[in-house]
Amino acid sequence: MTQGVSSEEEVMEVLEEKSGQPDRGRLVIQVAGVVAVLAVLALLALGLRYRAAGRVDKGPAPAFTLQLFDGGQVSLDELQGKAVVLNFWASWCKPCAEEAAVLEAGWRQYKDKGIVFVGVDYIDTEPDARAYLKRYGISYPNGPDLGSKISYAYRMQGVPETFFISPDGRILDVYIGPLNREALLVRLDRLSQ
Amino acid sequence: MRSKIMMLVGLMALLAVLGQAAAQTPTADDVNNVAKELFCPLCTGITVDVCETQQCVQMRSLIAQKLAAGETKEQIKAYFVQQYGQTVLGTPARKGLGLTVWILPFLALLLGLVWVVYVLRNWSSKRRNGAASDEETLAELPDKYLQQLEQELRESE
Repeated sequence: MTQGVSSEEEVMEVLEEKSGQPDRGRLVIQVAGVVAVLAVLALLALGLRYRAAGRVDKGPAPAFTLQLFDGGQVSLDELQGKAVVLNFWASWCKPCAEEAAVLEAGWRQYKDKGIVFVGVDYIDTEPDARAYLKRYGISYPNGPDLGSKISYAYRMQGVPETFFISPDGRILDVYIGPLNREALLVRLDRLSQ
Repeated sequence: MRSKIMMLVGLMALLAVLGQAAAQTPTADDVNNVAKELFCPLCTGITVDVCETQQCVQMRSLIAQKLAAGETKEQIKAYFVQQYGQTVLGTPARKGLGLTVWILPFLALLLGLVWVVYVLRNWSSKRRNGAASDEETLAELPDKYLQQLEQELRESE
């Protein structure tokens, strides 16, 4: 009857064995739960790392293709060998209007010296963007940043912001805020050398 | 007489054109009906119908133009998604990292259901086997404990 059970500890062992059979199902669920939590944490870490990647202010310029308001398109790849002034703007942006004439004058002055100006219209409405281009007589290629992909690739801080890209596709300088004539010409001279 | 008839016809034609134009001009409510389902792409958590930034003012104006041109709400929303990305709808993208936000709740729900089913099955099987296993367990206990248990039960009665 007693089957060799002689102490309280042994009694407890018998009771535990009877009440708690080896439980595979519970183990599987626990492992699945832990894996799910770890997966969520890994994704969060990935997202935070991506967001904390910092500014794009040197090194290779991110590739882009811009659909232009006039129906064509321009890509950084096809501009290899030319220096590029990549300007982010919007029609609702007052400081952008301050630099609009300066940029157009710079473009006209340097377009024959191997420098291409490209305007990227950030979070804007097309009729207002077109009216803005007409108002300031902007003649260099411009197009909307569809899905904000280009501004995101360049980690753009806010409009206006201008990236100066060398003929071999490297970012040489970034200017945040409205460019004045002197600031633009200094950079254009450097680019055209 | 003839000129009066001509004038009357002209007046009616003018009224018809004005009436049609009025019918095609969207009201503020029509515009807000679309704008309330779009989020200001430059702000955080503010819908376009109540947002006062210049960009939102321009967006409302464009919505009005598109409604007047006969575009539906869905067409207008699709246009803004193409322009500004999925965030304008206030929902995460259905691709890349954003996809996990769509999948995880369902995955968690599934896991929870599996757990509930498991627990319920465990309980019912324990209840079924409870009596038999209690007897087996008691049979394995030493006599002195059984006697003690019986004595305590007697005393408690």
